[in-house]
Amino acid sequence: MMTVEEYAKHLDMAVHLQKLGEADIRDYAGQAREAGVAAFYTNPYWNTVVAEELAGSDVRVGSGIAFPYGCTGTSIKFAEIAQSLEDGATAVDMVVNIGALKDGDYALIERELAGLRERCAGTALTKLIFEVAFLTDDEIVTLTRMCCDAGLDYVKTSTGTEGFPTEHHVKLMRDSITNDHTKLKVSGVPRQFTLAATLWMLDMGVDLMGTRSAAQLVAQYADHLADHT
Amino acid sequence: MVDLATVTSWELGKCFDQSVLPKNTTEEEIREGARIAVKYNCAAFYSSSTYWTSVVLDELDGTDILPATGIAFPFGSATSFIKAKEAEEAVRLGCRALDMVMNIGALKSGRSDDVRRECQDFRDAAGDALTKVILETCFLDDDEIRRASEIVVDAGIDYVKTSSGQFEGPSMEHVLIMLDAVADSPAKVKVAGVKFPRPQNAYAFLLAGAELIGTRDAPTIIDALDQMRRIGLVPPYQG
Repeated sequence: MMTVEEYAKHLDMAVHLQKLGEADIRDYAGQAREAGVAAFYTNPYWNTVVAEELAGSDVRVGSGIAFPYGCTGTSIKFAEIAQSLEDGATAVDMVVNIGALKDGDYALIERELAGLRERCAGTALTKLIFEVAFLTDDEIVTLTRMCCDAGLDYVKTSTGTEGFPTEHHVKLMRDSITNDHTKLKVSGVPRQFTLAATLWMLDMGVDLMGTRSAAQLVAQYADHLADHT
Repeated sequence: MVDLATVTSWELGKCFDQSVLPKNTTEEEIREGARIAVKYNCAAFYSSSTYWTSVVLDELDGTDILPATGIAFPFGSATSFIKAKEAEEAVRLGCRALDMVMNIGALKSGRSDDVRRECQDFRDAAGDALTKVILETCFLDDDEIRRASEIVVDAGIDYVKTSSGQFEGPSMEHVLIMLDAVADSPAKVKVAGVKFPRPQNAYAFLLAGAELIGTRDAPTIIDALDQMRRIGLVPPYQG
């Protein structure tokens, strides 16, 4: 069985709600550090605060890019990545330009993926957020393959702001991964990330789950282990 | 402020900013939205970001309707640097009205200097374009709405705007606080993100003193002008 520490590293904690203030951000970051999750994500304005709270821990500083819409210009996305890295980000989740994908502008998407990978190489994990609820199966398969070709670390289902991923979406992404490097991150499942659901997803081949309740889940897993050992 | 007693449907169009904002928007939907803005003589047409600006320019070519975009839409939690850069790019691409979402997390944390700076930097980056700052009033208390509006006024922004439309819309109370806050300044109020019933709400906010209504459906509101006159919400035509 996984140890609590191993379980925690399958979770990314994320707090993107724009009305949250500094005290909330510091509080959540402290919880993430305490729980020993893989990464703690906020919006770029808070990266320096989060980096300060997580300093000296092995919890990554996560930054959303073009979050949650994904349709800012490519140069703006790149500038935001560069600034996030400067501010201490060690995991970077960029939202895909869904309109461009739907209109078949693959060149733009390839450029954005290559730019993300290039800028983060050696410093930060790279993840592309799909927002699967808005995509067709074909679009999901195509985009997963493009991320694999670009050498991204993760393909990720959703921003969590609108539309939920289904089991079908998750399996489709999993089955469309074409290399041994790119992994699957599931997020955007509001209030349904129960302990049982996370274990089921890990069994399914999901590597990371992003949720605001990461710290509670780690605590529940610790209780679960104590009950069964 | 528009005089609803003398306005025609065509003139009323200039009280509306038409928008197509969802993240899964496709080119054809942008084109269709821009054509509606032209047909109804709207003040501006908005996409959520500059990715669509070239398409918007194409559709609005030869009209007086302002090509427009959101900045840091809809979260507003990008850094000031990125917001200014996004605004600069928008102007370079041809946008003539920019709506930037305020960083309300910073506002709520007492980081007012950061909010002031992002508004000023946005103002400077926008050049000659119309500037509007979105507050997202549903997340703010009355005092925060007042403080936010004052920061916007002090920065020399043209409009303080209620909402992005992605969350709850504004209440009349919110709008009245904003109107009071801008009363002695050149700044105006734009109301957006109001849910149903669309026509009645829009006219009520115009009567309250809002200068602009942001909506995805200007036609439904403008087409209801005669109906509003019939029920007495809008005065009879005296033009």
